[in-house]
Amino acid sequence: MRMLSSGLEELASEGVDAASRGRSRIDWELLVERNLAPAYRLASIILGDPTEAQDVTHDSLLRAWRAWPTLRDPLQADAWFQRIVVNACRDRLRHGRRTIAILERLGGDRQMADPAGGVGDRDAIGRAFAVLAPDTRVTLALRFFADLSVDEIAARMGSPSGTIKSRIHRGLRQLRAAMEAAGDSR
Amino acid sequence: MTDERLERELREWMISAAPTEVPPALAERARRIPSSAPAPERGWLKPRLLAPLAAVAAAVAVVVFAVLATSAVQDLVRVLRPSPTAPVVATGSPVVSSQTPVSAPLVDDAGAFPGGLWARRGTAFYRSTDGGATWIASSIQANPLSVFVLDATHAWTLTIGPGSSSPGCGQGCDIETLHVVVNRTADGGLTWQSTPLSGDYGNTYPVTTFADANVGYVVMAQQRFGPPSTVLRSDDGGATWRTMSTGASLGSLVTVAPGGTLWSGAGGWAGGSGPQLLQRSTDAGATWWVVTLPGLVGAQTPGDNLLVQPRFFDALDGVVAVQIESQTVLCFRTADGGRSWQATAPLSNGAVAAAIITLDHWLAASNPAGKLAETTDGGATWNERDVTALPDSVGSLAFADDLHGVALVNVAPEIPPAALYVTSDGGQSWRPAALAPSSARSTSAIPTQPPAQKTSTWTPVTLPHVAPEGTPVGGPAGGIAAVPGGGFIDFAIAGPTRTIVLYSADGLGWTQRGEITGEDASGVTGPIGFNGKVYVALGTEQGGTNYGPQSNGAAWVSTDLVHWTKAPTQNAFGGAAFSGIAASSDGFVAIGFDQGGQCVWRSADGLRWNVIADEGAFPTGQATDPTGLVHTSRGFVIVGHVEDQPTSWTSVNGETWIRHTLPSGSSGVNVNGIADGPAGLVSFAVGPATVEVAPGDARAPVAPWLSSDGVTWRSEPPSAALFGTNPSVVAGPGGYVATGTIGLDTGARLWTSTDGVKWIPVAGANLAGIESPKVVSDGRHLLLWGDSGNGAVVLVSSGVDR
Repeated sequence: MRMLSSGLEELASEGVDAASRGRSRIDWELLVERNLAPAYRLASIILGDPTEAQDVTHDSLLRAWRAWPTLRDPLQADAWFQRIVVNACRDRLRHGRRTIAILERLGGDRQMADPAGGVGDRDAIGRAFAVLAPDTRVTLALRFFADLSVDEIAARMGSPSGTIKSRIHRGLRQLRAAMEAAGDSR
Repeated sequence: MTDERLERELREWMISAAPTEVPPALAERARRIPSSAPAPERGWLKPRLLAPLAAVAAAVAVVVFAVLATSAVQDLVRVLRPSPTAPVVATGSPVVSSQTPVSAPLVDDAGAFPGGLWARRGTAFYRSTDGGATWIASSIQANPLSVFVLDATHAWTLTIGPGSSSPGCGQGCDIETLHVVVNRTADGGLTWQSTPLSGDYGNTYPVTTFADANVGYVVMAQQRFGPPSTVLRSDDGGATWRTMSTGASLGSLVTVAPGGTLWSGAGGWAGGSGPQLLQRSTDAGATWWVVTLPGLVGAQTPGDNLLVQPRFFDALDGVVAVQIESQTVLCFRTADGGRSWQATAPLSNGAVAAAIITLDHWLAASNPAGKLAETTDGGATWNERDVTALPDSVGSLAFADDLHGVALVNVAPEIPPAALYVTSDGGQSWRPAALAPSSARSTSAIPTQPPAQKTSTWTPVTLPHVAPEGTPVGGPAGGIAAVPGGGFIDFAIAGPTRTIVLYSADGLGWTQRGEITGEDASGVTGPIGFNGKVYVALGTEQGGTNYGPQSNGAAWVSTDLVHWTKAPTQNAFGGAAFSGIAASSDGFVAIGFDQGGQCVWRSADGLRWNVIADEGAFPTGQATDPTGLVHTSRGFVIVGHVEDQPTSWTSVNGETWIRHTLPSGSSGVNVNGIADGPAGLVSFAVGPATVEVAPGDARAPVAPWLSSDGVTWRSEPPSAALFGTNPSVVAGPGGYVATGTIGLDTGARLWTSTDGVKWIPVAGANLAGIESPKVVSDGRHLLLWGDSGNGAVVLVSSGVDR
């Protein structure tokens, strides 16, 4: 902040709106600090591929930076940015640029000890999740990973709340069916 | 597996599958974005004056055809040309490279803006926001002298106005009498508004640039033997202009840096002394100062020109690329807003085109092609890269970001059209652009919001605080509900087992009417139905917080709004979540969903409910989503979808339902809610196509659908006012009200309509900071509420003005 101020003071003498420029830059840095890791983790879940998630996260940051001056309410910056990330993930999924790599990872070191013996179930969930429809994956990730409410998810995805509710419902039904099928096959 | 365990397993899997740390490379890339990404405020233009030359010939309609067809064209080209691209081939015969550049579409002009690429062929204007994979076509009025594209929606052109003339266009002359018209679009080229500039700017070269959607400049760049420059400024997007200065000698490569400094660079002309190489104005073009670049003593040097517009990435950091005697490119950086400049390593490959992509990443093309010079360290070092499929005779480069860019490849020396190539990997490989057909497609429509009007008056209301936590409105998942027959009700949680019932007859004054107690008391949320005898409020058991498949539906009934009885736990409520209720004299119908895929319920008294198990009407094996429910004089009407197909259902008694598939060709449309008002039933059809109007901001058209019986629906054209919204609709006194948000903006918006077809944004209602807006009506009043971040905000209206 101190580094910025010296340059901005000079600019102020030329009539540049130094305060707003500086504030904008600082707000941006705070936005990144708050949202980079959550966005990357969310994108990883939705896309099922950390490499792809890196691309989407970086792309979302670029998009957000370019649109930064259009953000009317800084208090809504986090929700605004999360919406950009969600849109980027949906675009990526819809265009089918990458297949899901998470299936391979599930057999590796990401298995967690589970006193209830849930590793197998979790693998099955991962596999079932990976083949859900794109919007269903996004919805479930926002609900159960990002812990958003139905209304918040509706706002992020631009869909009616009722659609979000039924999408959650259908997604869970599909997961349950896949889990039961996996249980039958074991 | 129980619902609870399924959710737990899903959460645990997500937590375990998500990476624990951000990769350092991503963190570093994120950190560098502000200083390395293209400036957020503006786009840039790579003008090519040869198309304007054709425009000159066509527009002024003077007898110059014979002249244009001769070598005089070449002379004039060199005079006019703003970019100092050295002639590659001095003959007049077309040159087609061995890589057949004509396999790419021919365009007159192309460039980039933050987040996208653009191109122009004649009066066809193309934009791409997916890196050149797909292009959207629209139209411009005439061949322009200058184009500036700010973003996916805002662009400006300068065209030749009536009364212009060019009686003898030989060397050194341009249009002797030139009246300039500024054309602007704010909807991606669907519609244009024109403003003629007063005055004659003959023998100048007009260019335009904008800092944002409002502030922009027209600079009449000086031509050889032409008059001094005039600078005009607009603060309203180009609608009106005022002269800032006359008398300076300015170049044609103009740009506005973040912070407002206006820059002018010399693009060069054939022979003689031109404008100073680089000048700047910090007072909106009123006064100009010559900028001295180190080593270039006497900046007014023939043969030294800027290769592209000065690029600034913030108020401090910028780059200019200077071509010295057509052989060496020398770039200069500033970190103090242009007060001082530092030269970087010279590039002596005869570069003829360059792109300053970020503060550190620059590309330069020389001919013959096949190689690009690249620096990624801000000009400290240059490396030559082999590239594929980029033909000879590159005329210009422009990049939207590190990866996506366009190259114009001259087919004939310096005469447009040129072949358009795109890259998606930072210039490593190139391919012909896949432009859409030249005819403009109406599907590219990005309509302009009509002006807001005061069509209704909204009064803020403060509800009494009853909850210890200070939650004044609604239960956890609910809100204010309209009481059929008049008034509004709000269920305010006063504790884990106690909910206060607030009532208002007019939405303005609120009093406590009753209370609900018991372990599920916090689950009552509304909506409310009233059949003339009994009020029914819906909600959920187990608190009703958001969505939880383990929750069950619940209902409470009352005859006086004071005393409430909870409906007994019953099978029909298993896993149910209600979203709507309507009543007739015979009973109630509710919509929602449950674990088994059921979505409609009926009750005669509000206490005992049954699921409507009709697989023909409401197939549980398919995604059946009701989004709206009303009761009309003909019976109940539901709208929604079965899978992607818009659907309505009608029933006289709420028990037997008929399913209707809505207009053919509407698959994928999201039918959103229903309202029964003075013009009949109104619903909104959203999508299915979307248009990315800005980075990350994909919006869909919204078409009102109207019906008198719920069976036959009439689709009206998409509403310009509702484009990009996700509106909900209610009927109220005088008409209809819709509320929602636009694009990425989470703030509430409000629209009204008296006929359900023509929608007008509402002026005067202070919706600032309100999120998740909802509107209800009791038939006599309208009530809007939403979350301000510091609690609920409530506004009341007496209706829509006719």
